[in-house]
Amino acid sequence: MTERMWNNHEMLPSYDVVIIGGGAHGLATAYYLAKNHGITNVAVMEQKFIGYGGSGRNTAILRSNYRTEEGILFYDQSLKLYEDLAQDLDYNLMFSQQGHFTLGHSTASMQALTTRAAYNQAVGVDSTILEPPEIKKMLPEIDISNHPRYPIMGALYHPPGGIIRHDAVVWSYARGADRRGVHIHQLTEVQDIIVEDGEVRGVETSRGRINCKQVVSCVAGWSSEICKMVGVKLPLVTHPLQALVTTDYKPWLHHVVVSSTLHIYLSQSDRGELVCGNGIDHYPHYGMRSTLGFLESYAAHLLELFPILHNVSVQRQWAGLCDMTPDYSPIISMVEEVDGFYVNCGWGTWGFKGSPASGWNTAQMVAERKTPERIAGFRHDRYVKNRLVGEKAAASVGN
Amino acid sequence: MPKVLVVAESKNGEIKKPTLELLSLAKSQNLQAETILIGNDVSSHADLLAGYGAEKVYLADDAGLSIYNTSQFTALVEDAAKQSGATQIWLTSSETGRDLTPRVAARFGVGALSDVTELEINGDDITVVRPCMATKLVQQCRFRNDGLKVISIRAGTYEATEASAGSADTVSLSIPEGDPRVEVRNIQVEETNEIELNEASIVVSVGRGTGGTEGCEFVKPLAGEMGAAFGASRAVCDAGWMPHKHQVGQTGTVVSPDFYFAFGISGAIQHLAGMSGSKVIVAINKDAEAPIFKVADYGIIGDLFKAVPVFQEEVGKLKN
Amino acid sequence: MEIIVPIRQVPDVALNIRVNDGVVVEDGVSFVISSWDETAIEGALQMTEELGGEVTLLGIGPQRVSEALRKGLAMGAHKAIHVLYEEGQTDSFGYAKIMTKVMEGRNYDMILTGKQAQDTDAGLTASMLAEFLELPQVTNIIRFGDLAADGLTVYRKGDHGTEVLGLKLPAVVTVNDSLNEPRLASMRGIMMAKKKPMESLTPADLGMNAEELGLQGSMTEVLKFEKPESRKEGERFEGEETETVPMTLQKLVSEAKLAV
Repeated sequence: MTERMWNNHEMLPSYDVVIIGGGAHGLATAYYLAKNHGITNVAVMEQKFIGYGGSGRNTAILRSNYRTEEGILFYDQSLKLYEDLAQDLDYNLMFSQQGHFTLGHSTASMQALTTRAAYNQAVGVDSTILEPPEIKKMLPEIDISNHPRYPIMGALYHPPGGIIRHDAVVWSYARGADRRGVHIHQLTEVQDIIVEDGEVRGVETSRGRINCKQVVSCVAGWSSEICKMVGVKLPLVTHPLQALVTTDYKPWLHHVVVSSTLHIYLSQSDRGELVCGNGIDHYPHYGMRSTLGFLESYAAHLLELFPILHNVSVQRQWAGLCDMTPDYSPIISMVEEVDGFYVNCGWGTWGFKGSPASGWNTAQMVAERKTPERIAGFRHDRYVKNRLVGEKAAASVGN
Repeated sequence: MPKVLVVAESKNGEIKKPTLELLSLAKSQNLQAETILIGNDVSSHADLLAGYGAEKVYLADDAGLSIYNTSQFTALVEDAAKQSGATQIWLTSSETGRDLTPRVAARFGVGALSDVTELEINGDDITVVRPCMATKLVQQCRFRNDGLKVISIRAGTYEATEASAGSADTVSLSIPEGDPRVEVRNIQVEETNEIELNEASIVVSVGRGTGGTEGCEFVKPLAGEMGAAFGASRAVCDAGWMPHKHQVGQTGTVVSPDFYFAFGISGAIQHLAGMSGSKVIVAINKDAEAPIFKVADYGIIGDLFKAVPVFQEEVGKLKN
Repeated sequence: MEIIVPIRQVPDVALNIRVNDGVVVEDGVSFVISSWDETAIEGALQMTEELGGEVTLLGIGPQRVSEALRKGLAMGAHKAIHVLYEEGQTDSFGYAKIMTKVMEGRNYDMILTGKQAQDTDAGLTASMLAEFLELPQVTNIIRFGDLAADGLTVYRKGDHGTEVLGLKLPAVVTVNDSLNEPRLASMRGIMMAKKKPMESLTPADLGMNAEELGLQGSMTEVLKFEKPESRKEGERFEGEETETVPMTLQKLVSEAKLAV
């Protein structure tokens, strides 16, 4: 008989902490609560199955070459946790730290990338600017000729960046948490959060009521739904984000390539498939459908960069949800109006790479009931206090 | 007065069970029924058909009709329908039925409802239920016109009741010219001694879990011992482990036996669409998460190679 | 070899299909080309690649059908005809009548399509079209043979075995998915699809009037859709096969009346 990676437990009538959302962030939070703080009387409530949301749908790119001090340090902590994660969780996560290119196609773009390189270097994160001939040496198939529209003028090269097997991260965090006594309840929808006298008392689920003192919301694209339950309004707008994979080919692409101007990114997975993504869809929507428009625009831009890929076949398309914040930085915060409620969201298109640091710091915040220094910049009230952490240039494609 | 013309089918010298199901249905609904039988050397079946309730048997018996062809069969059904004054034409859901149903309907300038699994008959006023969306949904349909109604009914939907001895009132149809544009050259017939998939009351079926032809052949004798038809999933047939004639599924044969035993079948949608009409489903699979367990009435989580010999032993005991 | 491939855009039946008040919920549904029609497109492409000629797709339906046609063009088809049709519920008879009008005056050797559409699973339209056009038909083919002076050889899966037929063209042929494995669209194909000719027609352009369209032009009517009674998961047995099998058989005999 094979051993189960995580077990199905009877749901207890009460837990110390309830985490809503069984994605990488929720499971990492549970794992670090148990591992770093010895808090194991924890339940993770997942409305469908773990990894159903963004964790199972992203293009699995890891990097820390962000723009703000808060951002760079946070994602750097995350990347370093990723580097040791396979050993920590005793599971092959197939992290390939193969190096990450962000191509610049205009003077303005190059200026932004150069600034990012400088900020990265200032806090000890490895990033440099490369010229087109150097890019061509590492990516022989790329077209650096003088395109009429978007010639490649240079790139931000970030050696620690790479790709990982996203499902493996979710499953191994689940196993790690489960082994330490955390209960994971799938197909269990949280339908309401019970608040009395400004304090969290418990949650109502599709399988009954659970009493608890602390609730952590880690549901990304669905955050508005959960926050409604406690009367918290967050400046989140949910947009679909699409992706596709091609059929598999012999390994030829050895680095992650992103073009902000052309709005595309791609990498080659260990299975040989090209994993490709784009910017978010323009309309706010909860639908996770694929469109022909995405496919057509992706094909056009991909072939501008890599003309030899014209015969590559598209195997499958899918989409996920992105909860976008005004400053493209996450919200990891306690909510003072509701004692015991913590929100972890605003992960937009930049969530998966932040999972370990997100879990680590959220766990610390829940255990110590105060905001760790590392995530002080990500409070939910920074928007009214006008202390935005502007990461749009670095967090997404589309500028 | 409603009158049904049943398009009968025969194979290997016998009237196929679905034909008898249709005649029995007409009888149970107190509908006047006649039937047309087309083939080679089929006239001897007329009395049997009469015993099942066919008041008249229209016969087209000719060597050239031993293999199905659209043109002659359509013309013959058209002829019989006109002669009989039938208000309804019923066909089965065999490949012949599927090819013939729309052509006959269009010949008369009317519509058709195919693969029906439930009929509510009030004379000529008919409402049907039929599966759609790979059997994920059913739709309730009716005819909009008052004229001729053409329906094909899924095999196994209704029971064939016991017949009395019959003496047929036969009408010989003149054999029309074939369409010169379609030449039936040959037929590659596969073994004929096995029980028909869509007529069997028990089906023993194999999937990818068998691992190959050897694995399939390991399970096959159990079918014989249970008096069952032997089926296979599409994966097995596409991989060449078993001939396509065994294929159960939307693109193979749709079955609705009393008992369906699925050995090493995971339960892909198009397979489920082909056997979800079974009364009792028994699944044997190593993988507890296999989708087939969601529809199985009895699910054995185990190794089919260990289970089959035990099945054989127990079945042997039951027979004694 | 000029081949017209009528295709149908259907909800993806692999996903959850919901019904509200007897009507299928289209909101949030992913639409795809019906799987057997993809097989037909592939069959047509292979044939024209070998024998020359062009593959023309035909789609009838609302605006979203043009996406399905573009996906077919991305696979390699040469042109497409979109009959912009928003007349509501229409049955196979109705669609066959519209297709008959589309075919008027067009040159083709074969009309090739899937044996049934994945939404209705009816399998009626192609044969009705063949009758209205007075063309020969062969349904459920699993293989194409050679094209010779005396016709195209086709292999049909019939009730008694595989029928080998010689077919004089033009003809209507429907395919079984055993015929081939449809190719995936390539990046270049996806891009070039935008430039391929897409003819847009309305029923008025075809000279059709209201009585011939929608429910009025149909011979049958869908009253409602429903979820069938779902099978409930039954009993499970785990353990040694020497124990679970006899236990199961005993229950089959006593509870389910199995008789061998």
